[in-house]
Amino acid sequence: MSIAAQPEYAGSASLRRIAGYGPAIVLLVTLILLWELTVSASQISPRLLPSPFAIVQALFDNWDVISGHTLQTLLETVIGLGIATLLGLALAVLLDLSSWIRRAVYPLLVISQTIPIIALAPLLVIWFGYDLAPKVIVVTLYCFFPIAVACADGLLGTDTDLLRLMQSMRASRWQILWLVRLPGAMPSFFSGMRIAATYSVTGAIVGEYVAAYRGLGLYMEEAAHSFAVVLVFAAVLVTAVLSLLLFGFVSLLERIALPWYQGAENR
Amino acid sequence: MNSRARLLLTIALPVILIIVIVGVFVLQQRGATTTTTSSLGTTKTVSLTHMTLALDWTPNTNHTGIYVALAKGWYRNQGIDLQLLPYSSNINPDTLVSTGKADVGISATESVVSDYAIGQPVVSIAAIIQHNTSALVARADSGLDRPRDLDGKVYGGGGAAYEPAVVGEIIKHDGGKGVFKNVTLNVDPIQALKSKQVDFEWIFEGWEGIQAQREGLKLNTFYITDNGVSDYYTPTIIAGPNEIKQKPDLLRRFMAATSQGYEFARAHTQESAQILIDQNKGAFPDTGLVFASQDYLSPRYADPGRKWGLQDAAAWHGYPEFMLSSNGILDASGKPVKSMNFDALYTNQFLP
Repeated sequence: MSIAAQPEYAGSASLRRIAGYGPAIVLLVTLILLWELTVSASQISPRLLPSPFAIVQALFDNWDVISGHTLQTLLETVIGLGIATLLGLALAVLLDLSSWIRRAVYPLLVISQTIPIIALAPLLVIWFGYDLAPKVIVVTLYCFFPIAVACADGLLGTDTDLLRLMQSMRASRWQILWLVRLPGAMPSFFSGMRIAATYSVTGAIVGEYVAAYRGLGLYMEEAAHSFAVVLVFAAVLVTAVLSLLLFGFVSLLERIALPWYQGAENR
Repeated sequence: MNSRARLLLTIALPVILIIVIVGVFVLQQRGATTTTTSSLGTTKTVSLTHMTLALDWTPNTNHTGIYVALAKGWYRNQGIDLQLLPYSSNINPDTLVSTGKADVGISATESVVSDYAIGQPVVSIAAIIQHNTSALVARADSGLDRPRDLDGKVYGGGGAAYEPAVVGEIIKHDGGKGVFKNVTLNVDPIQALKSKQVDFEWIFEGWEGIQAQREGLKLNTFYITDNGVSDYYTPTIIAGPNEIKQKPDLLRRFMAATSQGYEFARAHTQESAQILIDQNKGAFPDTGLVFASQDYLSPRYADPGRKWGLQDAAAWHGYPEFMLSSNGILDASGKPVKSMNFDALYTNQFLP
């Protein structure tokens, strides 16, 4: 009976999940329609605010150029996000080693988030030039922080009963970390990952704004200087889609890693 | 799925994603390089000197001669493999040139003078346009009909220290007080005027001026050289003092090809504009603007009968002098500079 019931349950669950996006889709469509109507009804010049339809049209017409820039940006984003994840995890474990390290390092991490890129930009160009490195650095700088902080908080919040149980069984510090504390921190880690994934594409674009041969950031800047606002918006659209896809990818990973947690979230 | 499989999958998926993206990227890069090498396979393989040129802005008709020389292979004929460094709003070509990160760059008299004042000297080695085409503009329907009307109005500028000083002098020259509000714009100047965010701006007639015409925006234009400012060069090509000392031959070859490019653009307006468009695929949604701008600029790269690129001592004395006297040039500590050796700012020695 349970075998027969399972696929049906899974089916209704995925249906429910799709239905869960209903409000978002309705809101998005409404906003886009409002935008389209406002632009066509008012006298706003398309050079200031193009209509959504014109943006999609421009995106398709220029896809051969935009796709190359998109690939460049995507590459910088995933490499930066990958490094940020490893760095964030490592920092979270480091912060967790002792309260001394935590107190010493944590303020530095916060300070690292306050540095405006505009101050670093000339240095990044002089030291690392126009290639991949400065963009990956900017993405990493943007993304490691939410991961490190969320994961460190998760490690702190380990169930004390489980800790005592492990200690009573003479588990070593690393065994406790690996078997209990890291798995327990995973929900927090994924929360941090989702924030990082959302910021990562923007990070790459900021990095490209600094100086680049190719990429959506450079494309936006060139389009803006050629007075092609519609192309700037087309690039923004691509950025939004990339961010959503990365966000979705992280959610998918979370679903694979923590199926039980996902179930709890849906309730 | 057991926990080990879940863990493996969680780690493997991102790794696969990264590998796939890197793979696609590498494939695409390889595709791009093979096409360029095959198209160049016909030219003789000589050892080329790598050289970088830092652009002052996104590609536009000021750069046409360089793109022409690139497209025609004239840099290669001179043994130069020229790479253009795209414009960045975060670092100016002068800094790249003076730190040796770029061999040459595109700049302007104002920047060259300011660079000298703050101790990052660069030298102008050619004038791209022989006469100044800068103007202050206001909307034709604004009632701002002469420079002195600009008193108390909002000026949308680029944030450089010399701008308010020079604009103030222009207003005073027409009998005004030279007092106005200065805001730094990071948007399209013509759109800012259209939406009445600012009252007047400093534009280049050959680009924004043409854009305004094409968009049907009527402007009151006050050319700055008609209003008490002596003629000067903008943009210019610059090189660093070290470069000039160590690689004079390279610079001479560079200027030979560049000069060839601009001379071609003077003679073949349509064709050179088309080259600029072709070399920057997707950069010009309004190609009509490029052609119109090229029509305007081609005859202005140099006066008829004169070689392209030559710089006169008068231009390198008059305007810099004026900038210093109006306290528009600050040294590294922010104090106005009062004197300077203007002859160190430019040289014609590399022109063919």
